[in-house]
Amino acid sequence: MGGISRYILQRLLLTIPMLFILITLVFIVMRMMPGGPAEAMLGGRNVSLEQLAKVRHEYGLDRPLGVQYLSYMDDILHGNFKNSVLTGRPVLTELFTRFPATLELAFWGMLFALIFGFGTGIIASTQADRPIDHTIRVFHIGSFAMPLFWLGLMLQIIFAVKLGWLPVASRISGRMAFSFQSVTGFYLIDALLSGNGAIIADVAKHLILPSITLGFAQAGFLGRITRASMLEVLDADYITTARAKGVKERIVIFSHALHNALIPIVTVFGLQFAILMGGAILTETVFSWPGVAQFLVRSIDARDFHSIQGSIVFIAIFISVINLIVDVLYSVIDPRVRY
Amino acid sequence: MRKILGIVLLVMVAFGIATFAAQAPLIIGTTDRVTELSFANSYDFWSWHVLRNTTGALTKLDPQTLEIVGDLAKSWDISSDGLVYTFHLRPNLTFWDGAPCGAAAVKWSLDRTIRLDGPNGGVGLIKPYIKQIDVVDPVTVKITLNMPDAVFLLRISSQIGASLIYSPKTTPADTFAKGVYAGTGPYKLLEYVPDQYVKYEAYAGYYGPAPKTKLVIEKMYSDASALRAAIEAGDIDVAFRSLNPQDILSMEKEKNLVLKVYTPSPGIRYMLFNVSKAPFNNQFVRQAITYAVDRNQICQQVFSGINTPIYTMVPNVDPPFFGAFPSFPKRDLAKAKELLNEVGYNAANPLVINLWYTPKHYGSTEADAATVIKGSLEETGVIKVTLQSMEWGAYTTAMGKGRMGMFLLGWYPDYLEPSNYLAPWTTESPKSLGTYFNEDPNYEAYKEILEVATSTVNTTKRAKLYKAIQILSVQDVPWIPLWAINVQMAVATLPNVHGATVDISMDIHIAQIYKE
Repeated sequence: MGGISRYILQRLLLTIPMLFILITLVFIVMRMMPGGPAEAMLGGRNVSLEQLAKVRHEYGLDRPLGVQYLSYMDDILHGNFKNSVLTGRPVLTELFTRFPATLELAFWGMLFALIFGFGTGIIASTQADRPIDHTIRVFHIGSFAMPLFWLGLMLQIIFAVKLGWLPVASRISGRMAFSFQSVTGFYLIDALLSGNGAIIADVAKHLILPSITLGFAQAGFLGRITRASMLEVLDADYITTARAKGVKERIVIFSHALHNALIPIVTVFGLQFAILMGGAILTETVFSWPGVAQFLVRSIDARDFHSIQGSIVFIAIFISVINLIVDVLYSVIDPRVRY
Repeated sequence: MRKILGIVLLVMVAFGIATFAAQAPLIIGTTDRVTELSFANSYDFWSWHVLRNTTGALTKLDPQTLEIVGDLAKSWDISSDGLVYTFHLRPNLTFWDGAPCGAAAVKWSLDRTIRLDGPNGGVGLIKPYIKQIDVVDPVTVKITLNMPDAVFLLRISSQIGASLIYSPKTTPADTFAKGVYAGTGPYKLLEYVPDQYVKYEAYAGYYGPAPKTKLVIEKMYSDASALRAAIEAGDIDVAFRSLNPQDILSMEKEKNLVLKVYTPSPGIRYMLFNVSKAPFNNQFVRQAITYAVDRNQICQQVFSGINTPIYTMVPNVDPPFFGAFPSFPKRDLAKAKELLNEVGYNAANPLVINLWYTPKHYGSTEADAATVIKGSLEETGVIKVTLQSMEWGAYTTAMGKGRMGMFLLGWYPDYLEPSNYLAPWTTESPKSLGTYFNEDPNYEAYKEILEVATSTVNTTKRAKLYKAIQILSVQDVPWIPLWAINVQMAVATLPNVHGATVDISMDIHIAQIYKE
């Protein structure tokens, strides 16, 4: 087994105890919270205490906590995340239905963050302490200081309500939904597969505002890191040598400096994905984006234990995989890194 | 020649626009959610809304007259003892999967729903009353009851999701439908994508008038501000359930929108007391609070006058709410003080109490409403109120365990009849709804009156019994009716949209909505 394969296997094996601890913690915290799914579902309605007891029994919530925990772990080990109390459907079905929406949004949000963060960070580093650097710094600090919820609302009001250029929310317009059938759950891919220009444009337009909202704070942060990392590299001797040898500035920046500045940027990128998932909760709410994050919020309101536990495990696995990919990327970016 | 060509072109363009308009789907936006499309396990507004727009029941509420009329049944007979209902179905009814909708399908549907009886609780509205269902002939079905039930025609109507009829050919026999079913129309369900949309297409075989719009889509928005923005941007044609009070006010002034609030609302908000918990086990304390609370201030300050004060639990609409009797007193601070003084409370020894509310379940205005109530009670100078809040799951748990003495709650009726506004907190579910009224000295009297009322078919007699309960409740004060939730009756449309009216069932009928 090669070094990289062994490293991946080790990391995957380490994920198991992490998930075990996470599931246990979530299980305990959920049971410590007052109120349960039966009360959230039937509370305030004309139902008897006997009926509430029947529902608790049906979901196994009347059993001792230890028994509930062992039963839940046993189910998870068999790939059964149980049914959502909220929707009646299997939790895994709910998550797989919604995950493409979250992933699609996260991808475009991150892409926006990369393009703007990277671009502005590089410009700021090459123009250090000049007016353009100061302007970009204001933009960077402003972007991660700006409340995501507020930014989303402002973008909606300006670009959707006032200018009418873009849709307010959701993934596809009502007019297009009748000619559209999702196959993969990734609407842009599905739209491209349909070959219908109007649908492609409609789906793309729906992605713009949520992606910018989600990526904006990340863009500022990535921009700051890129600038700092680039400035450090630009001071290095080999850059001075390259410049002294008459290498074009474009090649110095993009080939020599940027390549070596990437390691801290990629590290931050990996960590930012976890923060991005937090941001997705707000973005999905503002833009009525039917993703995992919105499902998690609804599940918490409904005390839907199964869905909350399933969603958190799902998100944790996703973030672990992203971080693993980032770690593997190190060896691609930096030949000195060997596993 | 040019003129003729011009006219032809104009006609073609006009025809094209008209055709496009006829074919363009109607887009309805909402913040409500479908939880589960299962007749035997759904018990929420929008799931029932989808089900009842795609299939029928034996009876239905006429939106114009508000009387119960035939739906799949064209007529019915009731036995003299009120125990046997014989329904005569319309001939040649079909489901959209092609199967006939006759007596056998009606029996199969109702038997299946009652047998599966999901944990969400909706089936409980019909199950205890139905003893047996028999097919008399292909278009006649007989339902025998366990007890005489004056509101059975309401229970078996399309208002109740569990009473809807669906096809044995498509619907799974032993598991919840979860969207897999065929109905009788007016629409057939094309697709439901959770948290995104519900797509409908008019069912050509529907027995009634054809829907005015062939294709309809209902889009789900996460909150009221997104819903408002969507209608303002023209992304949707209709915005329904739920707009914010402030949005309703400002949208009324917008020229490119039509906004209407169809009052009165059968949805109500009220304050409840745990009558077994001190100091609320003293009825003079409860009566004093009745006199002190300022409904007008809540409605004006918090709801900009859109919600309106109520002085009885029963909505004042006849029919179906015959017997409404606004019996609770208007605000009288002097009287409140007098009552509190009688039981030993005064400025030096104030009544110190908690008011519980839940911050999100009834919308973002709840904390404001609780603050206004606190202020109005403290104006007596004899009451000190501490506001306490809990998330819904914890709130209902505390309520069921009797931990809250005075708390706010809301009610959307299961069926449109006074008993559904009087019995739940007093005789039907006093523990789970937190009043513990079963420990009140007058509990047996309420129970007896309500039992007689719900089995009395004569509406005049029944109205008298319901009035008696409302008068009694002013003395016993298990509740204080506060305001009607009119904001739920608001609907905003684009100017070219017609027919989007909200009736007493708090719903719009999508088959009647169309775009010019």
